[in-house]
Amino acid sequence: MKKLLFALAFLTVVGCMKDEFITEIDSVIPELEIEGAIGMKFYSNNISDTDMFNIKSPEDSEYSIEIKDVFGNLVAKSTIKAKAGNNVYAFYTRAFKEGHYTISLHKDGEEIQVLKQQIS
Amino acid sequence: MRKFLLLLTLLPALSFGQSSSDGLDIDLLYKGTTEDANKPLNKVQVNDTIVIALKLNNLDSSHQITYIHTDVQYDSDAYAMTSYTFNTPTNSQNTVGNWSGNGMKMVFTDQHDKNAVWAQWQYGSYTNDASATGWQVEHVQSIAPTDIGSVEYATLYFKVKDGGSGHDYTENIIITMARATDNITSDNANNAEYVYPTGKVRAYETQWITHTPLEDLDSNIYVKLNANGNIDLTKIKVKVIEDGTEKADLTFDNGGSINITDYILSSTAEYKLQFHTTYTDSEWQTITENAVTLSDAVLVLKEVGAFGHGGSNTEFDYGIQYPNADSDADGTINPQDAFNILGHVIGSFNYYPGGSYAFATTFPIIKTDTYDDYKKSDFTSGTAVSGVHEKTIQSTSVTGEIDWSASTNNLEYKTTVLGDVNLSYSSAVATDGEGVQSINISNAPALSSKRVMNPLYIGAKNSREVFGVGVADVEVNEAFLNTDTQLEGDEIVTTLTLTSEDVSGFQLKINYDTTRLNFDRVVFETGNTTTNFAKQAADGRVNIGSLEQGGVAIANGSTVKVYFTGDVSSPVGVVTVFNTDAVNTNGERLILNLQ
Repeated sequence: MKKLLFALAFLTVVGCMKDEFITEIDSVIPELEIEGAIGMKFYSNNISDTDMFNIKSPEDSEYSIEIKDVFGNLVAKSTIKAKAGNNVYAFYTRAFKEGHYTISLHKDGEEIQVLKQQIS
Repeated sequence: MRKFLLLLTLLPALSFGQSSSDGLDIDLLYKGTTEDANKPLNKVQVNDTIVIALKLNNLDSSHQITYIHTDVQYDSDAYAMTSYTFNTPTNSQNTVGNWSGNGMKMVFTDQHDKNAVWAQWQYGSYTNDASATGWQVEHVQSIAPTDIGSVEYATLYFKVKDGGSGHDYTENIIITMARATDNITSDNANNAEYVYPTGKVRAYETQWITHTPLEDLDSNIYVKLNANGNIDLTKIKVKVIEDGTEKADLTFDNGGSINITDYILSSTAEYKLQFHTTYTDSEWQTITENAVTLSDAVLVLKEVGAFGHGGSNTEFDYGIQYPNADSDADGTINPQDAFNILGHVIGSFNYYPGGSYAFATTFPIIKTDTYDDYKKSDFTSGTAVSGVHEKTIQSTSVTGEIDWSASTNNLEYKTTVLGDVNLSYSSAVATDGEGVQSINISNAPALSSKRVMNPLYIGAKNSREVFGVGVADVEVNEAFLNTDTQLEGDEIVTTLTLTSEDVSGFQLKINYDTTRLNFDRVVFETGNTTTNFAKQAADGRVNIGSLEQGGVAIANGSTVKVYFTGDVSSPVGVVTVFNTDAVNTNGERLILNLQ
């Protein structure tokens, strides 16, 4: 079922792809829908390589995603450009050791959301 | 193995013995010692008192046992019977009588099975010739008013003796004869006593004990491993080697302790300990990478006057740091040692013996006294200390270290990682160890940033936690480096930006998704006098660092940009950063935090 959802999301995303990013789609599959104007959502608490996740933004903006290991050490930070609405991205895991991580979404230095995730 | 030995011990009895099947079996049952009911027979020592039960198993449902006597013969050179108890019905008449005195031994008839002990009572004989010297026989008898039943009707206690050189311990305690009857006559028409017939009273399953006792070694012996908290002690093991033969392979507990008492059985054998690990090769290499960092190289540079305005030759606080810093094992500390360590950090050079990151070549395990007391003068005089200069895991005889008269012996070890000059992954040196360098007014470190003697330092912010009494590294300063990965056109770019003052060196490792990205280049903007390095290691990771060897600060805001090419749709997760380290302009270690 998860693979099917991935496929659906991927087809949706590819159809909307602009430039080098996977971004800006009008609607997402229910599992990635976000209530409210802003936020981040994964399919589940477990992230596998290339799993999709959604960042919903009220306007075109830059966001940073910080990933900390179980000890609270920052191990990765990325900046992404989001369009207003839902933005579905791929999450790559092969540079990580398997384990528990804290993934947080930031905008203009302000923490928007924090999620506890297992990366495998 | 234990079962196998027991099987060998019992083999004679099992081979020749058979059950009475429908009569009475009498089992010579070993039940441990008075000190330890679970002690296996093959671990019984001289001066132990063993417990032997005579267990009845009445297989004849038509008759009861109201009379039983069993003759137990033993060699008094090897055993002394000290006491006995009975487990029989109330008002039973129980006796144990030594009827033979010293010098009587059974001669079994070959007309009946050896374990057919009623038959042997009738047809066997005794000798009192020279072969019987020291042999005695106990007559263990019970006359009961009611059925004794299938119970351990008697228990005998034998103190184990050293039979002397050349003593033959074969069958030194043995059931030779037995007789059993049912004296309840009212239950049969003839009011007759029923005697369990010939061939129907057997010593089974065990008829005798053959055991060569171990020495009377009562000391509890432990191996104690004191390692840095970054080392998982439960992944360290030790083999106990007796005269070249492995006797046990044991794992340290969380506290770094192993009880090897059960495997040290002779004061004359040579015992060695062989340490090894269950860490995978990859995990262990990671430990060496985490242990030996830029700050180790800088500390060596300071010691030899090749960093900033150093050169006092008093940068090391403990003697054990000298052999740790001597990366080329030439008996001196010089800039080449620092560059070797720096090469390790960069990933361009491996100074470990044989170029191996293996546990045995990177992780000296050193006797605690040696570790704590090793002095700079030992190093400069070329004093080779086992485990320090050998750069191998010890397999040293420990026999001579054991005090057999002591109730407890602790064989204590500490550990380090070759190249871990600042001892960040090494055991703390005891504060009263001779290896602690003397500190006077002229060379006393600044309290704000130097390692200090601290008997118990527990986790304040920015300080590494060290538990237990010893010397703690205290890192009171930290530095910050901003990291950010973005897609820039066709490239994936990780930008590292120094955001702290007073930093003269930093290092880190970049891990990236090698299946999707290709490492392209690194662009440093760290000033004109900074030595920068970036090298892709064999595993694909990129080692990056910058060092101002002159001891001046790398400018706040300096950047390092790492460029990758590849095909990804987002920058999230394709690059991670780890194994960070930094030093300040005094060459002191800083905690480098990513932000």
